[in-house]
Amino acid sequence: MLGWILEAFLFTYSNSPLRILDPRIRVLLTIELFTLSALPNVFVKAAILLAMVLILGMIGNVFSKLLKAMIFAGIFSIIIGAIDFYVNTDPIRALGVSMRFLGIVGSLSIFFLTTSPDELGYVMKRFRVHRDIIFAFLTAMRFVPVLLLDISQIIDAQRSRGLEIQKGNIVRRVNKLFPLVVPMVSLVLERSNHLAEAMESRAYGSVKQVSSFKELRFRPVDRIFLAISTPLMVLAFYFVLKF
Amino acid sequence: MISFQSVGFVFQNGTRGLHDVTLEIGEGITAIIGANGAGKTTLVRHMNGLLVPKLGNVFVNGQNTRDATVAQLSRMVGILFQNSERQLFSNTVEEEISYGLKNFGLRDDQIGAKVDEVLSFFDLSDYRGKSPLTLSGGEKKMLCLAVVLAWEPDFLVLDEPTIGQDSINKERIEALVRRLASKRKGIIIISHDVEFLWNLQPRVIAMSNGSILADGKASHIFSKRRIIQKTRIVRPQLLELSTILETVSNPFSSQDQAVNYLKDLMNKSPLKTSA
Ligand SMILES: Nc1ncnc2c1ncn2[C@@H]1O[C@H](COP(=O)(O)OP(=O)(O)OP(=O)(O)O)[C@@H](O)[C@H]1O
Ligand SMILES: [Mg+2]
Repeated sequence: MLGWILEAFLFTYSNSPLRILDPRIRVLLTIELFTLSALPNVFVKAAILLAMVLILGMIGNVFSKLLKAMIFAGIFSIIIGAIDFYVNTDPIRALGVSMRFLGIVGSLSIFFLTTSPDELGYVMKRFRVHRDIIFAFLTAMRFVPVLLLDISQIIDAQRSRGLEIQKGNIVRRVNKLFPLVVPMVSLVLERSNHLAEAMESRAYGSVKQVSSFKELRFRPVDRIFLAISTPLMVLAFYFVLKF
Repeated sequence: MISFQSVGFVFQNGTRGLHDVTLEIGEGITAIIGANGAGKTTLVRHMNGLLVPKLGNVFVNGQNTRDATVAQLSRMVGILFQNSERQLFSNTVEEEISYGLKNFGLRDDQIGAKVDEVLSFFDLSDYRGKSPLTLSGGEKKMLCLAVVLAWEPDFLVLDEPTIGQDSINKERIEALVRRLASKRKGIIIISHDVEFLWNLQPRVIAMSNGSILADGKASHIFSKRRIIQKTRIVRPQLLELSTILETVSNPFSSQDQAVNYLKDLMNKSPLKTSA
């Protein structure tokens, strides 16, 4: 289960064609798709947008991981659809609402699957976000896999000391996760302490202006992609908002 | 008996973990050696079902690990994990030890007695009410060992037990291993610490790239140049000495033995009379 969520949202260094593009373009694309998915409640539009997200996932070579994200989000999507149906008693509309949610999650998932924390850092730096904020943001992002790994290690340790996870109904199983809260909190505190010590030992914050190892530059392929995708997106927005 | 039958394992990211591993481990001391990344930890994680083979089967006391829970298998196979320090999760040292005992259904008085026993064996009684996270690195590892020993599994797996341990604790571990072996338990030790292993004269399984490279007596395995190279170890000093003194067919297995031999040699030496 944890492994699933990990795989559905976490960047792994693989060859995705989308990674040729400048990360700023990926940010733009995600914002566009995200907004588009968030707008319509109409079934047909939501379906088309969902299809767009899936096709982008295919192009980006992250389709199977994207599907995992979708299946995970599907649980919530069903709940959301059910609530909408209960309120509005319109099955087609409810289906549209469900799909819209899937589209939103999908576009986010594609972004995170194809963008490394470092690239995100470069983008933020380009937009002149303060260094400490970038650092805090990226650290938080990097902490997610570390924490999930910590949790799974502790669960493994508990199973190796006789904890039966597989037994019992869902309530009992969820109950068994509560003993994890205390060790998790202390581990997070311990980890962040270690991190702060390590950073300071490597002279973080000792100079005002740090030098930069890598800068972002637009390349021809980025310009071509922008030239093609921008009109398409404008059209898509027009279509979604007008009809 | 733990038995691996043509076991293959591949990690989710495609890394090969184990390749066609067939072996049987019974009572007594068994050492597993191999370079970093050879697959030693992956092998032992199959022994209590934390990993389930992609190919082949693993049996623990006749039970296929596919059909048993990790909890059931852990009753028989206790593992001291390589990064065990990261796996402490209780509020106090005492709770840390009793956690497993409760899960395995021991009675309260049994649990109390066991906790006392292991705490005093590992010299941790003073820490009883303290948080495990405040212990030193070596103490944490000893606590983890105490935790596993408490329920007396048939097999004890030690993944790098001597790393970071002072000489007293190393001797403690060695004595413990010998005692368990005499009680007809199976002890499986993963280690790069050849001197520690040599003292125990165990059966040695050498691994490389997820496969078994060799399997045999310590004196035999540690004498082979190819195995030494592939497992990236340094030959034990007593074995080295035996080679120099040409007693390698029956190498020294303890320091005392070597010292006695050298004393004998000195007494017989013509140099001594002339000096
Ligand atoms: N969770 C994992 N996902 C992917 N690959 C892994 C995972 N765990 C281990 N590996 C890989 O499997 C191989 C064997 O790892 P293993 O931990 O069994 O080595 P080891 O023999 O215990 O090494 P060491 O002496 O360093 O502890 C290594 O190449 C490692 O990179
Ligand atoms: Mg290991």
